[in-house]
Amino acid sequence: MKVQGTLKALRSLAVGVALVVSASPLALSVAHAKSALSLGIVLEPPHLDPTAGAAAAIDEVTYANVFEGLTRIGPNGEVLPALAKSWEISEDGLTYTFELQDGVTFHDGTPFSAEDVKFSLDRARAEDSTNAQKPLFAAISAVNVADEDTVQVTLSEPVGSFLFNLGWGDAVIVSKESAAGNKTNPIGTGPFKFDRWIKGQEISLDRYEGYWGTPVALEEASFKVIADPNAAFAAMMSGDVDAFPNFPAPETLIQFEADPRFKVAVGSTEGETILAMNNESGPLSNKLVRQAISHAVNKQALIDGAMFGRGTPIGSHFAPHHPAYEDLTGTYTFDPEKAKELLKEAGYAEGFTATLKLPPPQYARRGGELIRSDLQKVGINLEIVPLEWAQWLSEVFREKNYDFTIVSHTEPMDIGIYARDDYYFNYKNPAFDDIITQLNRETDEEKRYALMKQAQEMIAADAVNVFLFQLGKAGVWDANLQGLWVNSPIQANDITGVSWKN
Amino acid sequence: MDTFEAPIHPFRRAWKSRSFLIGLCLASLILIAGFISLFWTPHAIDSLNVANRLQASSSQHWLGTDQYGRDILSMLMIGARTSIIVALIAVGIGLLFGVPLGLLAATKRGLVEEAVMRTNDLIFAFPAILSAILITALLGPGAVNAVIAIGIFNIPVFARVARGGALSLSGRDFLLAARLSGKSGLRITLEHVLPNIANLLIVQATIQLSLGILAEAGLSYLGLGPQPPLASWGRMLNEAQTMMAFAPQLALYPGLAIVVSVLGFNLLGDGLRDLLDPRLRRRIR
Repeated sequence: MKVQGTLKALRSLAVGVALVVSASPLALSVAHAKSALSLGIVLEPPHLDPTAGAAAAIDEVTYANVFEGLTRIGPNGEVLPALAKSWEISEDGLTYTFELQDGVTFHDGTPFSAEDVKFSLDRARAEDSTNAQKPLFAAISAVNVADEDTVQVTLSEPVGSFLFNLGWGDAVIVSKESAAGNKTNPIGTGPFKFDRWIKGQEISLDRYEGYWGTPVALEEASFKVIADPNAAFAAMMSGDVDAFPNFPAPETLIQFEADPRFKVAVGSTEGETILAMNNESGPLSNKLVRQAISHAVNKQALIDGAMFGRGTPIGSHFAPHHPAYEDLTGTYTFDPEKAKELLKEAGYAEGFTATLKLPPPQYARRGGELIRSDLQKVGINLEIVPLEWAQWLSEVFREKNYDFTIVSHTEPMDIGIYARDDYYFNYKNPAFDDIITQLNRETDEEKRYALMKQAQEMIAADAVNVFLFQLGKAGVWDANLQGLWVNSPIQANDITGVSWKN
Repeated sequence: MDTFEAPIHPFRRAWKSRSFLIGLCLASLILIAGFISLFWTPHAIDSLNVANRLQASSSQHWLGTDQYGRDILSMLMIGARTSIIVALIAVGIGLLFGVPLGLLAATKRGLVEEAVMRTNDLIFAFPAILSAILITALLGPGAVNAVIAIGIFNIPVFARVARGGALSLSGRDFLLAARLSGKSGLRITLEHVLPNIANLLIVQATIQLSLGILAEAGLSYLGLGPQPPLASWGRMLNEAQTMMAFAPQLALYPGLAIVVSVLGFNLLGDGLRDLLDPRLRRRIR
């Protein structure tokens, strides 16, 4: 009797275990389909602190997801309230009073207050700040805490785009307690908190249950680093990643478009793709040589050959969808004969040899082969040096140890970088610096646009870089996903509004 | 008792060995293509013309053009040259370092042999292609580093073959005779041992050549091999992969080239072994 009873109990236990075991994968997969997102990114961020690095990849993981600023940029480039629920601007445009959100906490539990705003802005604009976009904060003369929920920012001169500037990833609010560790363990106020980072593979985020705003639909998200276009294609097709907001292999888009499982969204980016030239390196310090090179590169062939037509020609460092855009694409028409003449005039009739250092993205690797061939036809021999992303950031971007490189500048409205001292182009033109200084002071829209046009014309005339094309944005994602951005008005993969259908 | 002698009329028998013949044809095809590319290709490949891209086969471009408008046949010919040069130098490195090490181990025995052979085992323990990736990742991508990487894993292969061959000769009458005549160890090794293991080394070199071609293709597929504008089969394959849907020929041709050359050199090596191996030779007689 007893034995039989035990047997029966065992049997039912076995059945129970079997049921649990067989049911759990099902339960898991359902949960996965409903609330987890795996998203592909091409470049791995060097670290995860948006206030201490220029790499777009940092913002592509953390912007709006982990970190928030006083304001934020919306999917169409508009300025929206974030940690500041409202603001008032004084009549002279010099004093901004921000009313802060209530009940905000950082992911480590520390409450957010006006002190954190003061700390973050003062830290960003400090003399020894490592912020990559210090000019955004240049006009701030003081940050005062009026009370726990009110901050007053005083400017030394009016800045037309100040609220937009505060929406950049570089202007996010960090906590005094955790700011030092944000590179490896980012702690912000956003709806997702950092979970873990497997170097070279993925960064995972979890939903932060204590979030002050509208709760997000996703419970977890992982950002998978996939630079190789073949691997990106395979990962998308196999469902290993659910979304690839910036798909690296434009030639495969036809296949995704024909497949009902996927949605292909073609939008615009702020990515001016340039053949950057070290304006202090040998022959490249000569304007005639740079102009010759601008004539020698066949930009349309580059868009067709490297991007399979997905790109818009540009003639300066400015996004074509901006109202102040001026079409300067005719400044340097493709004309190898003219290029040779200019080289001869500059004293380089025999050409010269230089290096072309290429970061991993496809536009650079493919574009590099085409540009090497174009320049060879006018006598300039380029040695192609492929670099990993971290290598590129240190060797080219920081140490300026290069002749030519190809890269896409995806920050919005970033023509001001040409006025920076010590920027990797090594371009120095006081007249240009003046225009940018005036532009930063000017609040009248019409005058601002006129200055922007002047700026575009000047760097085109100086042929600082070869302006290749505006990077197209082609995102591919699961047809059941909704809420991903079609355009990239700022460097971001904002997944706060993303959810799965049904 | 075995006697070691130079093979007699190996070429007469060669015509009867099918694998030798097929291998010879395929390997010659690749070798000749690579050799011709030194002087002439149907089109220049360092001048890209996007307007001319992705053309089908025509009388102008026998195998069509790639995504940058380059002639695929010319690319394949130069790719053959790249592969063969990389593999040949890598085999050369293996022979140059591996054979003396192997002979040293065989003649000195004792501690020297232990040291040489255990180091060999260590290198051998890593899969060849993996260590090549490791080395190019450390040194950076490029043709020279690919050669070094592939060459290093050839060293233990040749060391083993040389040592094994030399050991099998030890105690032979002609070696004893040489020693009695007062020749030094080095002279005996050079004048008597080396010529007698040459067969083994030639066979091994042929096989390593095919492995070298495969390794070069693998490395350049991963972007660690020779850099553009130099053509390489592995990189052609890699670049073709995302275009499989509308231009499968871009992957097909370099793939076939790799298959043909690896098969060719392998068959050639097998055929040579059949012809040159003394034990098999007696059986054929």
